[in-house]
Amino acid sequence: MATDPVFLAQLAANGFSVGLGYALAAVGLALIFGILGQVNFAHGELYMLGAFLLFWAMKQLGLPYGIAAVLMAALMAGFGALLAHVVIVPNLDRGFESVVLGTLAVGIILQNAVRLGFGATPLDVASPLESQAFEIGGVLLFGQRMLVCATFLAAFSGLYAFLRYSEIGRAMRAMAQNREACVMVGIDVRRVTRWTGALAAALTGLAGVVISPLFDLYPNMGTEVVIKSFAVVIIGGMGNIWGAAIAGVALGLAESYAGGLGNAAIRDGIAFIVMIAMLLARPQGLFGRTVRV
Amino acid sequence: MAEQFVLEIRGTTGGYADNTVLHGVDLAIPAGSWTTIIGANGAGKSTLLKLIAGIIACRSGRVIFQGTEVTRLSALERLRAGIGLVPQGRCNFPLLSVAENLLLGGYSRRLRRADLARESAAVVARFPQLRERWSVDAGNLSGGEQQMLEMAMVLMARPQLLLLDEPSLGLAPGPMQAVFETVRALTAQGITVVMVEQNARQALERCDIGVVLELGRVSLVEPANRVLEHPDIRRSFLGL
Repeated sequence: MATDPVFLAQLAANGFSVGLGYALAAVGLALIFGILGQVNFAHGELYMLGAFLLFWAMKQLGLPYGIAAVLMAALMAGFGALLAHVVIVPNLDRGFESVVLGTLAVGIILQNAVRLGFGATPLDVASPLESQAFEIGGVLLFGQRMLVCATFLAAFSGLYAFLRYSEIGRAMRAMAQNREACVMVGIDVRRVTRWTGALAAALTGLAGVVISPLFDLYPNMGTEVVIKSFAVVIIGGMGNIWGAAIAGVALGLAESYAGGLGNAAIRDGIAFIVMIAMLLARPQGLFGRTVRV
Repeated sequence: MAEQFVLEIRGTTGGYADNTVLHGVDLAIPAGSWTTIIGANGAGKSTLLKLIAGIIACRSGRVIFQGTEVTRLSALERLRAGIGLVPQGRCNFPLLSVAENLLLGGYSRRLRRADLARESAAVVARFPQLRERWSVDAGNLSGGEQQMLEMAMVLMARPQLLLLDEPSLGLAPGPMQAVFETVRALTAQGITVVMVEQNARQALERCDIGVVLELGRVSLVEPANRVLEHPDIRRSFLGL
């Protein structure tokens, strides 16, 4: 049974799609660390907020899933820019602790604001692809999981093009390398900071949109995501967005095989085991810290 | 009268947090001149350059550039107005090529890419050794080449006043000569240069004006050759 090739392929398909979801959920954290050198402790709450905004747009405004997702990404970008402006910009020249505490506070406020607005009872958001599945050679592919993969591809190729070719993207890569040199050549580091926050929040919210229909919505839902995101970012190399993509897939596959072939109980421990091993053996991560395109 | 001086500083104070470094600096820099600021460690030389460039705030007093008060302008606004600073130590984008670094040097001017490329070719004509290293990552250049690159990057912003903080720091005598020769060529084209320099004698032998900064105040402003002959200066700063 364990060596049945169809079963192994199914585990690979599951792991791959879950892993791309991890990468999508983590890339915003990697961006903020790589470009601004700051750790965003409200990252999980951005994911949660994206999911709840989607729920609100569909239930209260009656919008279809696709349009609600676009509206949500725009709202999240605005919120990310505001978060960067209020919490990160005033602390750019201080130690990282200021931003850690500031974002932690924002995360707690967001959790409780959502609990106040939507209650603590788990909610469900419906996606048209949720009940879809198709089969290739005995391997089942689920519609929503495929949407996660497609969103990953679209988001990462869009991010690549943005960082590579847009004026603000070039400034972001420059800031990842040397902030003092940015000031020297007249790059507005506050503006780049706000853009980075907007991009990171939009991507994290997008992850919430495509992944949350697979699970329940509740105010603390970001906690699990943030733990996996930190694992992915540490394994891939702090701030390295391509490293985060590869580490996300690797973690997804490892969890899938551990759950399928070994013991389901150790599956959730894998992220921690690999993260701790990585911090001991290679603290810079697989690919080191750079946003290089 | 004010037009003769490209930069006037009147009674400026400034520093970091609760540490005031500059206690009322008065200085006037003639257009097209090369000024070297010397002084002991902690005298406030780098702080003065940062204050002129708008990196740190001016707590009191005024900074006047080309007859216009710039005291309240940000670093970016002052760069657009024509004040460029090359900070101390390495200050470039190490993982980008020389060509890409130069393009970023013109970032503040919002030019089209084709215009930027044309300008970077014109700027690099002053730096022959950079042209040979066009596609090399800045981090792989020698110290002297990186210093040249940083000067070229700031020149892409078209400054009228170029501030250089220890441009010869860590350079061998050869590259140091090259940096000084480049500075002389820039002033010949009408750019005013103010530099802070540890190699005081080499700089004073070439520049126009020497300024001595002591404990956050200007204690001497003289033509450079007079500063070189000053007995106290020879003893304190030149080791002669």
